[in-house]
Amino acid sequence: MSWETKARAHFRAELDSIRSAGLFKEERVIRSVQGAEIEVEYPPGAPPRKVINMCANNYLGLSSHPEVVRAAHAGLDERGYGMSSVRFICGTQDIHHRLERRLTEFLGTEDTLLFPSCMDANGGVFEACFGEQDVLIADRLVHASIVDGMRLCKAMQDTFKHSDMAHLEEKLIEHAGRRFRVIVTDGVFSMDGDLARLDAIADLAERHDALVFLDDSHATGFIGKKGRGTHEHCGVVGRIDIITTTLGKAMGGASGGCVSGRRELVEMCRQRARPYLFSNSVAPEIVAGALQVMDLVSRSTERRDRLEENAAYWRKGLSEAGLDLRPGDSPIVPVMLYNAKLAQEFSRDLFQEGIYGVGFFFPVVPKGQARIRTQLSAAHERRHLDLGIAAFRKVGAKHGILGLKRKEILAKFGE
Amino acid sequence: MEQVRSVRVALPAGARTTEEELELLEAAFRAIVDMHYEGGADWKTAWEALERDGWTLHADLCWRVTAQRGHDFESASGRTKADALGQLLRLASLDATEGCP
Ligand SMILES: Cc1ncc(COP(=O)(O)O)c(C=O)c1O
Repeated sequence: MSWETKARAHFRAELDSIRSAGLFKEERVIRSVQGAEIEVEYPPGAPPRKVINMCANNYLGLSSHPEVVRAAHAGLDERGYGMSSVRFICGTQDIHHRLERRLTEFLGTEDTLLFPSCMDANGGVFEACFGEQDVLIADRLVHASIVDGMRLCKAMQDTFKHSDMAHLEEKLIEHAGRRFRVIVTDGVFSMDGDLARLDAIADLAERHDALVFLDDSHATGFIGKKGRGTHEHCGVVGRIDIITTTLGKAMGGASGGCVSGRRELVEMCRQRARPYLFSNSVAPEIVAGALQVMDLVSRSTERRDRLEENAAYWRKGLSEAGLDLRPGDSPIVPVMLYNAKLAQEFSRDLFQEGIYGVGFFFPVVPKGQARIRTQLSAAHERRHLDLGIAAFRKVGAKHGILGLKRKEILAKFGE
Repeated sequence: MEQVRSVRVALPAGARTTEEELELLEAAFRAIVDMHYEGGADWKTAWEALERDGWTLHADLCWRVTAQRGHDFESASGRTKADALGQLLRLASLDATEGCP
């Protein structure tokens, strides 16, 4: 087929339809290190502007932490730049094993296996462990990588309404004949920042002889008193069979993910998970940086404590300013705008005020639930938060939404 | 153009049939026609090739349902139409929204 005559026209039309539906994603170029303040070139070609970053997953502020950077440099010097191999051929160094042991201790599990990313961990774990006789029952708001991983697995796939324990129990009963029933959930849901009801889930699993899978990517390092995750927060450490998580958010923010949990399930992944078997090993400097992150988070809870305080301060400030927030306890604080166009304009106006926060709208979130998802970091100082709150107040007043709730905002702007 | 021939089968006088039963009858006749006139010996070659590669095979007639919405496509199969649709519904429920990174 000639690319020029047929294929190019087809893909151009596809891209045009994405553009005309208002769904075209564009990158904003950052010209600084990741942190509470970043320099952004936006629109493309414009001189870089210093803005306060309210949308990174840099929860603990470790992405550019000097100790982490130093450790990564040392890793680079001592163990080289890359492994040029998958793990089981010649891609495993002592530091990979050391990091896996540290993660096992931190998460309170039996064993851990690193993956190139958590997307890969989720892509591999289900197919490696479960088959046609089993059923995976997922919360309807789990992350896209879990959906993809489930689809790669031959097990029956089902869902339960978001955090609805009665519906989950119905599903457990409906699928009683299956060999293994696996309850699949995120720890902290990235859309609303709410926490899974893991204690109730673990109880249901016990009552119905089911297994529990948890993706704690938006929790590892800071949820729970010691930051071990949602299972710590909910008092169910040791009762979760599989945990996947990422090193790409709070834990230094570079890359890498893992499957951690029951020894035999982790071993099944080592034998069968395709992203582990067929994708390159995590680079030495990243492993070295992550080991330093493990030291930092194990040594002190100061950063997760500061993050918690920041989140509470931010929530209080925005609520008092009259913005409509999704309730919750996590550092993900969605400011609800409901209307997609309003969310886009709001984000643009915030940027003019020196605040970087992106608008999320359908199909990323359900129709009529557009928002600016703000995310707190331990790197934020009070002055950042005060400037942010003032900007939200100013832009909120400009659009006349302060003090308004869903119905009133929808009445004013439509869905 | 080649003449398409069809076979009409009379149902007993006064027979009350549901839409589903008619659909089933049509599917069953179509399967017989496909298997007898179009399958030929071709399937045997594939079957034997797979067996030579160590597969244990099993073939079954079933319902296959598909759903298309814009760019999204889902398909499922089942012994009954209800089974297939139930499976389709479960698959579609996985992707209610794209979700956030
Ligand atoms: C819940 C969840 N799981 C997995 C991932 C993917 O993590 P990674 O960036 O390591 O592939 C993300 C990132 O968006 C996530 O939010």
